[in-house]
Amino acid sequence: MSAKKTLVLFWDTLRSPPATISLGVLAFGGFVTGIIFWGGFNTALEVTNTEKFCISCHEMSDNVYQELQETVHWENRTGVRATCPDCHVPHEWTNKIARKMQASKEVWGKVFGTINTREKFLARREELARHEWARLEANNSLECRNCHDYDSMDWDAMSDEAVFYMQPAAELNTGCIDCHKGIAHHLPEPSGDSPVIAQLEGKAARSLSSGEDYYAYKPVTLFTGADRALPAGNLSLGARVKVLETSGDTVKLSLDAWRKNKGYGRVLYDQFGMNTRVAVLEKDAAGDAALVEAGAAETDDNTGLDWSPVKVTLWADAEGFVADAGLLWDVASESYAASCSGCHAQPDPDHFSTNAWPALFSGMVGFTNMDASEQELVLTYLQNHSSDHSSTH
Amino acid sequence: MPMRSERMPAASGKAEWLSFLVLTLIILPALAVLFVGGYGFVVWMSQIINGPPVVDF
Ligand code: HEC
Ligand code: HEC
Ligand code: HEC
Ligand code: HEC
Ligand code: HEC
Repeated sequence: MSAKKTLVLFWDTLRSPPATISLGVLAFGGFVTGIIFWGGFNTALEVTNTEKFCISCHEMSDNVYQELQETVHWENRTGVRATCPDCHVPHEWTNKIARKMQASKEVWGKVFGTINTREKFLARREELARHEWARLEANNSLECRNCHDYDSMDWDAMSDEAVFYMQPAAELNTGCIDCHKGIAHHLPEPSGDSPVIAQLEGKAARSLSSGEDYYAYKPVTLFTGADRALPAGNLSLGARVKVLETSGDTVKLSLDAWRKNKGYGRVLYDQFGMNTRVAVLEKDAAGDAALVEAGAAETDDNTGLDWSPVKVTLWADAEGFVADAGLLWDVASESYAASCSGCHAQPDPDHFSTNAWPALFSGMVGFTNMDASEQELVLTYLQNHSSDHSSTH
Repeated sequence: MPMRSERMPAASGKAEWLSFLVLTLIILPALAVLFVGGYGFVVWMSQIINGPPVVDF
């Protein structure tokens, strides 16, 4: 019988009333298979929600599972064990089903070996960890709080440090993951690529035009000549430059800045008396009058230091600039709000002065997981929107 | 329905049992899994767009 004929016969049989099977048998058969199916479905759901299942893949058992065994969630005085699904799989039905479908990505990863060696895993770990952090941040650390609860914490039994940080966090209902990263596995090694810079990459100016102002969105290496042979220093994130000439992927640019008349004058600042860094020059370049043209000094009464305006003319790769500083500040303010609002409302940038921010910021940044580029960008953002700027701009 | 019953001979007992078993044991379970999976997939996609579920304690 051809496949088509079989299908037609099958369809016709389904459409006509039963001739030989009784209604009772049909109803009973449907009922029993329904029960078996539902039981089987839930069993499958349960089996795939065990640690045994998770570590049946060596990708999971060789790396994260080994590390979990060194932590308090593996063995503790109360004898409560947190298993993989406790922390990673939502408990509510709809979200659990969604997570199971999401695991198709893991099956894909298994088949194509995205993390099938230790090296590949380590290289991808930061991204995987960021997925988990984003999930736990968005749901306010729901999975942790299926076991832990601020209301049930005995502050008297905790260390002073824990009470100092966690009591305000409890009042603000902050998610645990904001402060407790890497409690179950090793933290990812910091990698060179900053996600914040990657975000800006797409907005970079494609071609630079002479006479226009641009802003560095990543550390830009400066050179003493158009041949880009001798490095002259680095532009800081957010530094404003004027493009003088472009030729191919090399630009000649000028930078109006200030320096302190102390030492070699290698560090250049944005404005008179303001510690907002825009560039750091090599010692030789900083002392070369052909490259760095200094004006008449002025004295800062607050510190007694002399500052001179400088006009710097140097060369750089045409990559690494955006045309609008607003693009930088948008990304920076988002990152600031995300990283600095965990324990207290993030202070308005104009609540502090340009020169006060660096110390305040460096005292706090250790609590966050900002990478180095992100830190520089956010600090520059805060300094550029400080109380010194809010009245003038 | 006289037209149809003329075109189609009454199903034999064997064909009827076979159709019943194929339907209840294979097709309907497969459809159910497909629907639940599809539902999960839709939720996943909506979470990509709207962000994951948020719970306020
Ligand atoms: C089929 C083998 C396999 C099984 C079983 C498995 N995983 Fe994975 N898992 C992987 C692979 C491969 C990746 C990497 C996927 C990628 O490269 O995006 C991964 C990634 C992850 C991630 C990172 C998620 C993300 O969004 O990037 C978590 C968390 C995780 N697994 C937890 C679990 C848990 C919990 C279980 C048990 C319920 C489990 N895995 C079972 C293979 C598996
Ligand atoms: C299955 C329940 C469970 C889950 C889920 C869980 N924990 Fe725990 N957690 C425990 C237990 C049990 C202890 C150990 C208590 C003790 O000291 O006896 C603990 C201890 C801790 C500690 C104290 C560490 C130390 O060194 O004393 C921290 C911090 C912590 N958990 C954070 C988290 C975070 C963050 C999450 C979510 C990613 C989480 N927990 C998820 C049960 C759980
Ligand atoms: C504002 C940051 C912050 C948040 C949010 C936070 N913690 Fe903590 N927690 C700390 C610090 C800091 C310590 C002390 C250092 C340490 O033990 O890691 C601590 C300590 C702990 C301890 C050990 C206490 C002790 O002294 O025995 C546990 C358990 C704990 N936290 C669980 C949680 C859980 C669960 C949540 C979420 C409901 C949470 N924390 C949220 C900062 C925080
Ligand atoms: C106590 C909660 C907890 C338990 C138990 C737990 N994890 Fe995790 N897992 C996390 C958190 C939190 C992260 C996010 C990264 C971080 O902070 O270390 C994470 C990250 C991961 C990642 C991403 C890669 C990485 O290292 O960051 C994978 C894969 C993973 N877990 C798999 C597992 C598997 C498999 C198990 C069971 C053997 C397990 N986890 C048990 C909390 C847990
Ligand atoms: C782990 C929790 C935590 C995080 C995350 C955090 N802070 Fe704080 N912050 C505190 C605590 C606690 C205080 C109060 C400390 C004090 O008064 O000595 C504070 C105080 C401050 C103050 C006020 C200082 C003053 O003298 O008025 C500023 C400004 C500040 N934080 C900025 C930041 C910035 C910027 C970030 C992000 C880089 C940040 N904080 C992230 C816990 C945190």
